[in-house]
Formats: sequence, structure tokens, C-alpha cells
Amino acid sequence: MAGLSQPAVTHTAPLARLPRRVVSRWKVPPAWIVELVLLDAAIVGNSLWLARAVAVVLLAVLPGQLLLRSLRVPAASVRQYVAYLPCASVAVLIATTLVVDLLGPVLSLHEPLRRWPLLIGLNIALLVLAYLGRHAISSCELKCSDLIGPVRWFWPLLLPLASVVAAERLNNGDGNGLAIGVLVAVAVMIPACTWLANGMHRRQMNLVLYGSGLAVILLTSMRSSFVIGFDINSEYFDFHQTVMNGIWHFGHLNPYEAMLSLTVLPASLHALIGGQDVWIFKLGYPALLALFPVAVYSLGTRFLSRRASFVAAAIVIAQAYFFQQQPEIARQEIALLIFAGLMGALLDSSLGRWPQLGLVSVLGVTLVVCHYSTTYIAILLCLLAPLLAVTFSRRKGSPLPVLPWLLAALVMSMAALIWYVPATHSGNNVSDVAESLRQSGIDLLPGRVKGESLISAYFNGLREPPESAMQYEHSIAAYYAGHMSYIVPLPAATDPAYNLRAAAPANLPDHAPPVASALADAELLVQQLIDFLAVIAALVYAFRRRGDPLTRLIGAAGIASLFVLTASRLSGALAADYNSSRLFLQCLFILALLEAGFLELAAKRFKSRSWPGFALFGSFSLLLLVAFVGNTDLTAPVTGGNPPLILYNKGQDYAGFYPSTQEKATAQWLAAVVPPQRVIYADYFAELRLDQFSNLRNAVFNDVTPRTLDQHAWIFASTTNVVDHLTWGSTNSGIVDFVFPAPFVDTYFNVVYSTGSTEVLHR
Amino acid sequence: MSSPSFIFRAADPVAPTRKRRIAVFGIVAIVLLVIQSGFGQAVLKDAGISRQVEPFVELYFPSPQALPSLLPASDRLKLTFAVRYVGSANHAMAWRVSEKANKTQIGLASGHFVVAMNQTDVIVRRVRVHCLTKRVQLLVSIARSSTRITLWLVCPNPR
Repeated sequence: MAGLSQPAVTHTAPLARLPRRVVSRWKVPPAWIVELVLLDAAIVGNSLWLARAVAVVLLAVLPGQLLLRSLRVPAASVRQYVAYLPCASVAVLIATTLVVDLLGPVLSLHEPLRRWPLLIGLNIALLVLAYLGRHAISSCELKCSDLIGPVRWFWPLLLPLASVVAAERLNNGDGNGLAIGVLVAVAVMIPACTWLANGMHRRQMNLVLYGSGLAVILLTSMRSSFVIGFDINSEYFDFHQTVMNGIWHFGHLNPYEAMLSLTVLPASLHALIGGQDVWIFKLGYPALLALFPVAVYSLGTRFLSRRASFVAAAIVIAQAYFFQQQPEIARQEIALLIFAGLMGALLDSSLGRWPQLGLVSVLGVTLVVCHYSTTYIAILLCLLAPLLAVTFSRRKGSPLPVLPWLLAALVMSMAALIWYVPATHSGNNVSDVAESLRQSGIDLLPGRVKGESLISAYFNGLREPPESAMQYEHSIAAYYAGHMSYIVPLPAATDPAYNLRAAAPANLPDHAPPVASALADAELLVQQLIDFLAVIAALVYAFRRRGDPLTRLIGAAGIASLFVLTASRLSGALAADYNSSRLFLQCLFILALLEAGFLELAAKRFKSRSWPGFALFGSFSLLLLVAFVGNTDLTAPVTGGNPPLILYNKGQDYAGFYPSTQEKATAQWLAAVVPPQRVIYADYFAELRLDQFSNLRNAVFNDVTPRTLDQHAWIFASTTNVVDHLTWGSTNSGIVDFVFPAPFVDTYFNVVYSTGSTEVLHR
Repeated sequence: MSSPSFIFRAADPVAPTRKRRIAVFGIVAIVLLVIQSGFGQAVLKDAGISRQVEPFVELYFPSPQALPSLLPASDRLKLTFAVRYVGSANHAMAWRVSEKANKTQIGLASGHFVVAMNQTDVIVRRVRVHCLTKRVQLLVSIARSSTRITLWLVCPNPR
């Protein structure tokens, strides 16, 4: 028996004596060939859910595995920073699909973005990558089994499954008990895992973070049969058009059409995996975004304890920006993952110079074609961070590895210049920012009132008192009269009987107003504390005397992130061009680590005692718990107030964002019958249905008021308009709710289409 | 050393983990195959998990741009409307055309038919409008549903 445990020894000696060519042939593991065959079989048989599941897993792993091997990235580095793998897979899929798309017409393929051309292209690409990696040393051979821990660690993956079931039950009108259960489980996980983190294996923690993050994301993304959110409606339309056309072209494109994360990549995934295309955005992209906190944790373990690294990842998971807003912006879901991969590679001292530069370049180019704003911020960080790090550490001896940062900035800038200008002509967002800066300057603290201090104005931000329905009616009517002379309202529109009326918010009954108020205050306080701690932590890490090059670079990247965030907060022009909360999430990738690192530095002050560290991290995890509960509105069933979309089939978000099948049918009917010369009215949220289900983009107005409706208008009335009698107007101070003007439109317009819950009116 | 299982574990300590993984993946595979079957779908439906398509009716004027706004002097109008049923089975329904004026409704025509699922039926009826006021509203509605379309007409000869 003892002999059976030592077969490797007996085999090693003869192999060592074989000629080099034979040894290298033996070194090539057959695992990737088996995986490739399995992937092909799964894609061919993708009508089966089982085959789809296999295809999803292998598409996430195999292309990345071969690319990383060809770049000579050590397997140990990938095991430590597992986000490299899906990032590299995304890069391979995008590149392969783009090549197939471009070569297709040359080979007389009119619709190259179909299953067979893509499968052949993918096979060729993977074989080429395998060939390029043939001389890679054995330490670059990644075994997938190394990424998976024992089966007993898999339990966190039940949380996303429970989320899908919970969202489906809610979609079908059943209760929210399971959704509450998922949220409670994730909430409990934050303090519990903070306590247990140092005793948990890294892979186990990866699974906990992935399962928890994905679970809360899916509670949002899996609502409705269609995509849900704001930007994602237009994103889905461009994706769907690419799927329908089976080809993507260069040319003069709008930014969404030019982003491969919204066209080529999802079309490829859809063709290879099968099923309805909407699932790519509802399930596939969230599954990739959920790796973002995992990447935070992985990066943290390079210089922090596992407890501090977990806390950093939990800071991200607790943010509404992460689990509520990001699933509604598909392009940034992918871009954030690639950004995480890029940052991981830039701060990875385990990579050799060339593998690091290669990986940084590949991910930099991938980021450029995925999302513009994330790219701009990444370029800025890659320029500022080394500059600040070198400036702060001029007197220190150890050199800083700034070359990869500068190369990343250069590669992304060059790629952006080529992609956004001659390739797609889609860089008008840069010219828009330049134009607004030219027109209004930096527009420092635009919300500052006369006599207000700078600090007060900074914290108050942009705030104007909300307009009433009547104020909105008058201001918007004046605006139309002054700027849109081609809109001719009916004379009866000024009849006082048709004045707009404020609508009552569809809130849950207030069961405990003092409790709700106290929780809201606590959440605000905690959020401000997290922000404040980020500032302190970045300053401490950037200026502390001790520290290795890695921590000094992270500190400098933190200061650079703060600089970008502050600029966005101070400048009205910049804030108007890029949503600051999305910027915050990108910067939080670094800042969350610095916050957790700062806590750890404070805990280390008490060298001889362990309890202050426990107390510090324990208290902070409770603060995160408060933030998470507040951001998810988990207390709504108890306290009342605005019902959150992830728990109820009512409320502001449900009314605005939840599309129905009837609305889809109505939008498609309208698109089929309206003439080219027309004006269409759809309120602020109803327009999202037109964005998602039709190509109606031009001459669509949001102000469904008697005084702004053209006498020959086409009015798209959503379910909320018809059933709940509610509509919205957009003002400088936000969205104003008012009663849908049914008495006016029913009296002067014909209802030309109806499903009972939606209508089209015209005269 | 006397226990065979102990010896097996010592020779290949990874084997139990691998076996467990294979078992878990096997269970997942079986579950996926089962839930895609008719039986699995029925179970999911009973559990409120599978997507249930809510049937509805589309009622519309096929040529909304060509609708008249003035009633002919004969007071007779050829009314064309279309009905499409979006659902999973054929559906029987009744329709009604009425004239609405001064809070009163007068029935002008009605009928019933069976519409095949996801099919459109176009209905053409000539109706005589009573013109109780100068401006009347014709209402086409589907029984036991809130689906209705309307048409405003100016009467040349109001009674």
C-alpha cells in the first residue's frame, strides 16, 4: 500500500531523461482539451438547461484560463485574485466575436453573430491561445479544481438561487417572505463573517461574498420579465437589435451602439448560451458584477488581514449603488469587473514584468470598448496615482512600480482615441463635457446660496425645493411656448378644470414614524461616517512613513480617487455629465480597502490585546449592517413608508420601472402605426418602455400636461397612467408626481388602442 | 491500518472531496433536467416560481390616422376595429359598440366570437349614431374587461 502512495516518484525519473520536446508534449495538460470539447457539446445542445449551465461555467473559465496561460500569468496569482479569470474570458470573447463579426461579410456570412460562426471562431481562438501558451511553465497551468473548495463551502450559492425564486414569486404576485429572508441572511452575514473572517479560508470567503453580493443584485435584476431600471432600457434595445441583425458594424454610432459590452459581447453570449436574450442582462451580467466585491476582498488579502479584507468587501455590498443601481446599467457591470481586474493586475507584485504589462494592456483595451466613463476615470487614476505616489515618497528608498500604471494609461488613451473617434465616431460625450465646461466653466458649487460657507455648500450639494404640480404646469407651459412653437396645444387646455393635481404617494401605512425617522437618520449618519473615514484613510495611507510600495501605491490611488470624487462634487458641469454615485462605486474599490486598512492600523495600536480589534471591527460591521438595512429598506414591512421594489409590487420604483407585457405590446403597436412626422408623448418613466421595446427615440416628449400636449399628439399611456392615474414630470429639482390628466385627454383625444391597462390616445 | 477505508483514504486523500463534488454536480444536473421537463414545469408553476403569462386583449382601430372626426350626414358610420387575444388558448369574448352622450350610453351594435390565441380578428360594422348632442363619443368595449377604445365625432345634425 505504501508503494501506491508514491507513483509520482517512479514516473518522474524516466520523464526527466526524455528529450525536451517529448517532455513539453507530456507537460501539456489534456484538461483544457476536455473542457473545449465539453464546451462545444454544451453550446451545440444549448436547448437543454443543463447544457446552458455547463456552457456558462466553461465560457467564464476556459477562455480566460488559456489567455492567462499564454500571458504567463502564474496560476498562484489567479488563485489569489480569481477575478482575473472572468476578466480574461470577457476579453477573449469580445475579441473573438469582433473578429468573427468583421470577417463574416468577407466570407459571405451576412449574419456572423450566430451560433455556428461564433463557435468556430471561439474554437480557433482558443486553439491559438493554447498554442501560444504551449511553452508556459507548469506554474502557469491553472487547474479549475484549485478554484473550488470542499462541497460544504458551496452553501452561499444557495442565496442567489433563493433570490431568483423570491423575485419570481413576487413577480407572480406572491408574498415577499423569501425576499425578506434573503436580505436578513445577507444582513446577518456582515457581522457574523466579520467575526469569523480570520478563521475562514480565502476561497470560502470568496464564495460567501459572491453568493451574498449576487443574491442582493438578483433581487433587483430579476424583477419583471423584462429588463428593469433606467439606462438599461436603451441598452437592451441596442443589444436586441444586434441579436436581430446578427451583425455589428463600425460607423457613426451613438455611444451605446459603439460599446461592445452592449452589442457584440451580449449577442455572442446569447448565441452561444441560448435562451431569451434578456437573460444575459438579467442574470448573466449580474453574475459577473457580483465578482466586484470578491475582487475587493482578494486585493485586500495582499496587504490586510482577512477580517479587514472582508470588511472592505462588505462596505461595497452594503451600498445601494452596488446592488440596486448597477444592475440597471449593464455596460458598467462589465466595466467595473474589468476595472477590478485592471487594478488587481496593477497592484500585483506576484506577476513578472511582461505578464503584468500584457495583462494590463489586454484589460485596458477591453475596458475601453466596454464603457467610456469607467475608462476615463481609470485613465485619470492611472496617471494620478503614480504621480502622487512618487511625489509623496520622494525621500523613501524603495522604488515604486509605476511603469505598469503609466503603460495602462497610455494603452487606454490610445485605444480610446482610436475606438471613440475614427472607429465609431462616438466620443461626443467628451465633447459634451468640454462644451459644458466651456460654457459654464467648472461651475464651482452650483448649489451654493448667497452667504453660505463653502463647507456647508459642499455637503448640501445641489438642492432646490421641489416644485408643486401647479408650478410645474406653469413653468413647463412657458418653456414650451418659448422654445417649441411647433407644438400647438388645444384652446381648452387652459380651462382651470384641467389644472394639474398633486398625486398622493403610494406609500405603505406608517406604522412607526419615530422608528423610521431614527433609522433614516442613523443610515445617513453611517453613510457620512463611511465617506469621512474614506478621506481619513486615504490621507493616512498616502502620507504614512512606513509601508511597502504596494500600500503606498494604494494610498496614492485613494487620494487620486478622492480627487476625482471631490471634483465631481464641486463642479456642477462635471456632476451634470456623470452620475456621481456611479463614480463613487468605482472609487470605492480602492477607498473601501483603505477604510478597512485604517481600522486595522488603529487595531494594531493595541499590540498586546486582541479585544480592541474585535470591538473596532465589530462596531464597524454593525454600522455596515445599519447601512445595508437602510439601503435595502428592509424595515419597510415594519415601519411603513415607500415600498422598495425588491419587496413589493407597489411604490414609486415599481410604478416607474416595472414593465409589463401589455406595455410591451402597446409600445410595439405604436411604433408600427405612427407616421414619421409626428409628436409622441410618454411621461418620464413611460418613455423607458418605448426605449426598451421600440425604436421611437425622436420627437418623444415627457410632459403629459394639457398645456403642453400638441393637438395632434400620440399619447402613450402606461399601466401606471391608466390604472393608478399617476404620471410624472421632470424638473430641475427632481421628479414631480401628479394625477394623470385623464379628464382632459379622454375629452379631446380618441383612445385608439387599449389593453385595459395601457392605452394609446390620438386625435 | 486494519481498516480498509482508512487505507483508501490514506492512499488518495482527495478522493472523498472529488466524489462529493461529483455527487453535487450530478444532483445539480439531474435537477436541471427534471425542472425543464413537463413535470418540473408543473412543480415550478405550483410553487409560484415559473413565469405566468397573464392573458390580455388588444383592442384597436387598425387605421388610427384615418379616423373620421365628422359624422356623415346620413348619421351612419362604418366602424372598423381589431381584436387580438394574447394568451395560451382560444378565447370567447363579446364586444359592444355604444354611443355616449350626457352621461348616457346607447347600445349601437354588439356581437361575440372566438378569437384564436395570438390571432387578430378585424370586425367591421355599420352603425347608426343617434347624435343626442353636437359632439358624441363612440365606445367600443369588450365585455367583462376594462379594455375599451373611443372615437369622438361631431354631429352635423344633432337632435
